[in-house]
Amino acid sequence: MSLVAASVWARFVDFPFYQNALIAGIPIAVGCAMLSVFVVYKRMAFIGQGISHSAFGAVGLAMLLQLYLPAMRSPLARDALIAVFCVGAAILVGRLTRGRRISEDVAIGLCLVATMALGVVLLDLRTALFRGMVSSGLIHQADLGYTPSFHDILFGSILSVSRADVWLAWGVSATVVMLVLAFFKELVFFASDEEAAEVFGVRTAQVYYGLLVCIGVTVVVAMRLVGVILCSALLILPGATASLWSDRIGRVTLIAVLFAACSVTAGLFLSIAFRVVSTGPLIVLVMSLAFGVSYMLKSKSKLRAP
Amino acid sequence: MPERHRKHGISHEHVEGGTICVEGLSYRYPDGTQALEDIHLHVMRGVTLAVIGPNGAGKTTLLKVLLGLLSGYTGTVKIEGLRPEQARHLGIVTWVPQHSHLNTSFPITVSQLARLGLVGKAGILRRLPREDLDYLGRVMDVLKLRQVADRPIGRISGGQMQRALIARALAPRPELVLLDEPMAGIDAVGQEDLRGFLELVKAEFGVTLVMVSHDIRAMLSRSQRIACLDRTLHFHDLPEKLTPEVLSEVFHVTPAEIPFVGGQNRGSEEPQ
Repeated sequence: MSLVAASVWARFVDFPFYQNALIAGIPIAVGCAMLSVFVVYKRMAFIGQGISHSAFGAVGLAMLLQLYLPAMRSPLARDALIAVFCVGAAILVGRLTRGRRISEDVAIGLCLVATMALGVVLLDLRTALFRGMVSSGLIHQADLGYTPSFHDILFGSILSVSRADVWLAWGVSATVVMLVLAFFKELVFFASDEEAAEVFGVRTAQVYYGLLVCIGVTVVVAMRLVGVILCSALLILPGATASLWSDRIGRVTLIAVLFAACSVTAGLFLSIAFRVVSTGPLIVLVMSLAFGVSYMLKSKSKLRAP
Repeated sequence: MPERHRKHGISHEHVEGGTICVEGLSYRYPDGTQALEDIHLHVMRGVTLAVIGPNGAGKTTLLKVLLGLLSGYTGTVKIEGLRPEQARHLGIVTWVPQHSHLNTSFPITVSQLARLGLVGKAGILRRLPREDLDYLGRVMDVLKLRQVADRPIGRISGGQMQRALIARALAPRPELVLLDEPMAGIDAVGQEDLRGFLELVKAEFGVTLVMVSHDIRAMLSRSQRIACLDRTLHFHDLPEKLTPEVLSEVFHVTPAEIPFVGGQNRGSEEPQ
């Protein structure tokens, strides 16, 4: 047993990409965990799903534009486009859910499938155009640098993050954590009783859109870790698990953050031990199992699920 | 009370008309339905007013107007001489929701819930001022919430929950507190307890209370003024003067169906 642990540790130390994965993965998961508490109590799980899936359409668009616009070939430009797309989707979802024309879940469901479909079509189109451009000598594979595969977009590619990605992850997460802490009272009031929050002077519409925009920006880095399909796991599972362990909002938030950080670490070392490259899905699996165990241990206690 | 006015920066000439001053208030929903029509209502400081009316009479709409949550009404509405939304942002008018509508699974304690009443006033990134917290401490004492202050709201009784909501409403040191269906879902003993607590609150903090309900029976005792609302105000006077005829008109029932009102038999309203 200790032999296995020693060899896993040796590989972690030997390969910088494992270390990068850990130092990028932890802040991403922590940022998501801070938001997940409010996503869970405000019952915004499906909204989170809608926003994160819209990132797929953005990736498709970015990769198509890369062929024609050299400026779009840097990873930062691609991330910026995805961020704009996700924030746009967040605001659109907000408008649709606040309006009363169509019901909330229908609106989000539509957004979700439309952006997924758009992503697939754009990526197919890009592949066809790219082949044509290569055969006529207009472009070379090397011009585009690293291009994520379908699998990378859908399920993440944390083992191939760059230094710049690490910085981006820390920057985005630190901003989200600071915003949540600064507006903690307002968020608690908003999530526990939105109507009363409005009456007592909290600008609930601003809090709601602020939360959605934070989710949108976080998705940009979270899709590196777990991919667009599993982003919503990071926005649900930490808060949902923590809500089973305490009925004090401060402790719930702290538990969610620790849970997220531990799950990323456990998932990464498991992926080293079993030589599995789908690190993101493994992290989500660890979180789901931990939730299941917590639920079995705690479902009979007096704590009530939100 | 003058000390409080200085706090809110209200001069005395403004408050001559009382806490609530409503003149010719009408409101139409966006779909065209008339919700409130030509309402005149003056409430002096320190009075407890019960507004009763059947479902759909516009009680909630009236509350929303007084809280400054609705615009597009006609007529004038002043709370302590201010526009309602101004009064709400200054914490001069606050609100106690129907406690049965609340989601009690949210993980906060009774004292955390009460402190939320100060959030809008404190502003972001600021700690709550000491004097506000001291005041809230007194509110918690009067409402007998000290011993459950650190308990999560999912683990207290309905009566304690309602008192916690009243504490939240008192936290910003308001002049006027609006209570939405305060007696709904509470048994006779609990209602009597609540009336006792509301009287204590008034004696201690000098607030004006406006309760809104469809439950005539629960509202009659210990209210100093009664108003009957059915789109427009049918009556606004002392409870003793309320006749079965007025009630039958407001609630669309025959006078024989409301035998418990009128000055002479008010004592027997609650069979005990």
